[in-house]
Amino acid sequence: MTAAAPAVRRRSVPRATRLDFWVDAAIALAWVLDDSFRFTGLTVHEWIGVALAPALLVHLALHWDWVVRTTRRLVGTFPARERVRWAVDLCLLIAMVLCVASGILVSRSAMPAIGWKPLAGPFWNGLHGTAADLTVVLLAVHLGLNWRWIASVSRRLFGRNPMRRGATGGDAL
Amino acid sequence: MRFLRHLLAAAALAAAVVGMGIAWGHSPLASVVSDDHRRDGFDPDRSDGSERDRAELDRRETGRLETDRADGSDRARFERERRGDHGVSLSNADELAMTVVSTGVLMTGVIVIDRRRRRPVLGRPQP
Repeated sequence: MTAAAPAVRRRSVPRATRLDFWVDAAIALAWVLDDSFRFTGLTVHEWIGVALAPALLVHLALHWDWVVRTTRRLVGTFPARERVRWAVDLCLLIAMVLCVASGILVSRSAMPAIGWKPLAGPFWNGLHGTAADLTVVLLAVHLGLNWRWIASVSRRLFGRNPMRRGATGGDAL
Repeated sequence: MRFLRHLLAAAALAAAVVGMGIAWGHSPLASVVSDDHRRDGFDPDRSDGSERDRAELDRRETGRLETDRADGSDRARFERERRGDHGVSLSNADELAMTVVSTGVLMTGVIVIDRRRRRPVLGRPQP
């Protein structure tokens, strides 16, 4: 194997797709890690949660075209699978945003460290727990529904024969 | 520039969701997720002023327990919370493993169902 081979392989995946893939991978890993509260401890848990807020916005911005296009197509004839995907993604968006926002509002370590007084209360505490439970389930469904894209890009990034199996510059959200 | 526009749109959408959450918190439906219902048997109006009740009232007002007020199960919970406050704990890696496994199992289930639905039925003409 020559040194040029990996370079050729990397070039075969468009830059936007690669960025997309790594942002998505980082979010998924961070979320799974963050959901293991006893493992991370409070402080790490909260800082990961804070970091997830901009990461989620970047993810959504990278797929904004898909969001707009799919939402417009919902009114016409549209495959049931795409409708399910859209509904799952909408629920996931709401659950993730509420989870991160409520986590910031009830923060006991990260936010007080930068001078933010937490807005505590049973509603936000309860919402944080409920949204986190829902998010883990929806995240798994979301990853499952987009598995083809994940597998396809993974093969092109890490696979042995990138030219045989092509991945599109996918629009999976 | 285009990405920035999309980022702003995404931020506006996220802000709308947070706004919905705030509205939800002020509506009668807030009790659906409020963690009050998880602590059955406590009625603030019938509090006898005990240490435990004071600790619970304090938790409801501030969202946290004062360790010196907590006793019994509250103290145990407080200790558990405090243990989670000292950073990554490898002895609790089982929780991470459990999250990974449950997410993986669910994801695999979705993939299997999705693949079955996509597989063409033999003998039936495809549209």
